[in-house]
Amino acid sequence: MKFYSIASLLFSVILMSCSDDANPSSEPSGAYDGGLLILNEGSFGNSNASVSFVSPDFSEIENNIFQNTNQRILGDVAQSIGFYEHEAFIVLNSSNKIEVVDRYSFESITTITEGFMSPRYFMVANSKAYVSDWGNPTNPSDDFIAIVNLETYTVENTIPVSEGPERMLNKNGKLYVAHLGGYNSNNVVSVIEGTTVTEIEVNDNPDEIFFDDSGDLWVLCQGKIDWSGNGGDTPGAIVKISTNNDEVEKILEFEPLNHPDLMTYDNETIYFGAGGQIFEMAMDANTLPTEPVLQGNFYGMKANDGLLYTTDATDFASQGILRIFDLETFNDLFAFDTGVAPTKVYFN
Amino acid sequence: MMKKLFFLLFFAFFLKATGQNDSITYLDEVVLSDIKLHENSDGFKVLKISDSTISRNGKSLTDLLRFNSNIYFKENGNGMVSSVAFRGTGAAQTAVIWNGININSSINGQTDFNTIYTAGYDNILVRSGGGSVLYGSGAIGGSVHLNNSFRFTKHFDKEFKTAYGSYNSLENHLGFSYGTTELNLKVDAGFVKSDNDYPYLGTSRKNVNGEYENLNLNVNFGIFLNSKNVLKFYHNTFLGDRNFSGGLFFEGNDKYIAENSRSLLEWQQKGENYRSTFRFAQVFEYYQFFLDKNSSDFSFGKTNEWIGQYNFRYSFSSAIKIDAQLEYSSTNGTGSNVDSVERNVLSGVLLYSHTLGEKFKYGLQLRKEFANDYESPLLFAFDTNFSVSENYNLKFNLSRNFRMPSFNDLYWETGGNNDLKPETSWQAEIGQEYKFNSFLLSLNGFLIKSTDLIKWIPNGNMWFPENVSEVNVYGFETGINYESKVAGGNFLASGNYSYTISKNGITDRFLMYVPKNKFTGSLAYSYQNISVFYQSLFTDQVFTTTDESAVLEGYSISNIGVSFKFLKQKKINFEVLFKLNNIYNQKYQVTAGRPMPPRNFETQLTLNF
Repeated sequence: MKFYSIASLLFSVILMSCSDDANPSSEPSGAYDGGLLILNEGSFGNSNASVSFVSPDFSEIENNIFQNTNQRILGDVAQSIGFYEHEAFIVLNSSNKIEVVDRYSFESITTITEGFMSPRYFMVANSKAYVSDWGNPTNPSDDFIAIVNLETYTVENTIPVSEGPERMLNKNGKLYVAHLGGYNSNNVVSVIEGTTVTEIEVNDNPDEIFFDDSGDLWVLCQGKIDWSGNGGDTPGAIVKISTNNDEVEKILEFEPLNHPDLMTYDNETIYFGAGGQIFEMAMDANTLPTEPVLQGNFYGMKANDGLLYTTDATDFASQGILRIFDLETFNDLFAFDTGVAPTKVYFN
Repeated sequence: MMKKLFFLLFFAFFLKATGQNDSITYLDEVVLSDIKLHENSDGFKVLKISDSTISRNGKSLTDLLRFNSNIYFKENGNGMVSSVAFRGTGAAQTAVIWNGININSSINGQTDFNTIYTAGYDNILVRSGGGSVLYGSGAIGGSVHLNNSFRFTKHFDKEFKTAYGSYNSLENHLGFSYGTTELNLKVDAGFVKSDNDYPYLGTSRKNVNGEYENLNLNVNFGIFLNSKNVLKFYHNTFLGDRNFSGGLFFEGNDKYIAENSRSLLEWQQKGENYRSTFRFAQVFEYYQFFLDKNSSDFSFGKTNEWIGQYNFRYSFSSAIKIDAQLEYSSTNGTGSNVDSVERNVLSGVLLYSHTLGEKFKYGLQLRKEFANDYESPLLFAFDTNFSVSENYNLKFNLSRNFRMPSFNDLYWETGGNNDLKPETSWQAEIGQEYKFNSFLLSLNGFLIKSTDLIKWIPNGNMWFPENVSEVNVYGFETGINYESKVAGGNFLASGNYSYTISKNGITDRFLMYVPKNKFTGSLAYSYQNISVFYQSLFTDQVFTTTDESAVLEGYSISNIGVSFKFLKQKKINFEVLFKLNNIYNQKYQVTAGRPMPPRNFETQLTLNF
């Protein structure tokens, strides 16, 4: 079974490279064309954030590609990477900056340092870049979405939003923003059209989001964690929002004290992680599954084309691990030692 | 094994039974605050930092000990949070003892060495090796002692010191001591501030948000009630206001306010064969942490500890002494992330010391604690000191020590684990001291095995503390001291080298931020009223990850200074000191990403009258 999976994988890799070859005008644009980019968060205060590159055939990993290319340290606490055309925008939360690089060569283009306080995610819509920012993470009323001019790389406007804007998605120029809540808590998904903000109420601390194949929005809410028994704990949930009318269509709530923190989507199937377990769920399910498909340490997770990419941050003070699983068998196919605290996987 | 060794030493004693007696006189018992450090540490290495060294080495305990002991400091940028690795152990495994009272934070188990103002103490000592029987939780790698002493003679001394240095660093210190043969009152106030905005060498940037200012007050009062009874009172208040600088890769914007106070009342009665000591102490700790220094939002932690202690020491003969001690302490804690919690500990200590002839001493020490929130093992220590000859001294100690779980470990709102056990540790040490002519040489080898170490383990976004880690440390320390008259002046040279292998017992990897090699050295020469000194520090590279995948380079830095004394100028003694730190302008980092200051100067004027 495993052999079969690897064989099919290699076959698809060959197909991919063939299709590249078929286009004579496409020169390799840089050493990191194709393959995976792994964002390593690093540990706070230690300035050891980094990006790793896994070759398209999964044969090798190169760590520290930003530093290798540009001979300087990336920064402190890498939160996310956003892409626009041939550029990658690496958001460094604690360093409070965005490093702009050529996504294929990783050569530095510029660094955006002005206009952020605690930047989180980067996304391009309507030919402008949007950066979610927590402001002072303890202050519930200074949060904003910064609008970045992609020609001048400067923040040209901000849209005030409620506490802790996190991940963003764009549907036909309309932005959906999950509000994880900063160092406090929040329970909304903002919908931004132009500069108008409306809010959809969901469970507490919405984090991971995706659009399904029919264009509806799925939101993973972590719930508020309080184990003191004082009643502060609120249930996590997977919430489906119809993007036709921006109304909540379905809520699947977790048991108390069981807080999910990862969710990804591939081939009409939802995968979510809670308490060191990963579950698989059909789109039309009306109850949450109880039997995990995987167990282990999962700090980040991304499903794509029949494969599941998970990251293990181990102790956040040593090299982490990227593991790649087959989504049919859940056999692990590959494992790589990454930088410190790998969180996110991007396809380059 | 131990038995064999014991007999060996015993036998050796009978072969050579002559020598000196350095028993403690009654006056020592009265003037010193922590007499057990002298009476019950014969088999341990105790380093005393001299007054002149204290006054030459900045204002914080980090600066002082970094250059003058084997201790390694992990300082988060100059003047910022400073934690310690003593003989390869962790930050919570060194106890800081204020006049005999353990002042490590109940909240996180550690002491930030940049929150201790050194000029407020009469003597500072470093006791290497396990000391949990005497000093309780955390005395695993060793303990650092901040002591005040009294002077029962007729005097009225006043001192004023003012210092100014690079980066707008300022220190003012005012102290007086008034004494008669019956009483002594000492008051000592210090104020320190610095912009701490030094440039980062090789960049166009400087240290931002590193400002600090501290206010320190010590009040000590001792009085003979009659020839047998002495009452002593000690007090220290430290108020610190610091911003936390970030470093090369992020700008700090946070602020930390610390308010610590300690008070101790001691009543000591001395009979012919006994000494009875009643001590009553309060240790208060409060901090506020502002993630945004401009905001009024902060998180805080607060603890208040009351300690009642009774100690009875009985001398069966001049050779055999027994100490029995009972202590009860009650600590209340509260904070932003910890509900109101209370810890009550009853502890009993038994110390036996025996001097055989005049050359061989040994001690046996036991401690048992009963606490409401952790189970403590029976702790013990055995130590011997054998004067092989007038010039050669052998020491040995073996001990079992512990570190209790902190309030954060036990009660942190999400993750705190009520079932934690204390960390426990075994250790053994052999030391030798050799004197000849003007040389004093020492060599100490040690082994420390710590188990049940508390480690916070991540699970998704959550962290949970568990007793899962083990650390094995071994190493040695050598010291050399040379003092002699040269060309009519006094020449003093000293060097300390330590070799430390500290590994995680489970992964067999080196611990982060523990250098394998550390060297400190100093040279001083004084001629009449002029003194010059030079001090050097070498610290080896350290790993910055737990799997040895990343390294921070080592560094070597040196300071030079000169002082002039002007005696009895209108009844005032002046001393002027000029010091240049980091003379070779080395670019170095103690923690990754946080550069330390380049070459900088300090000037100091001291008036005694």
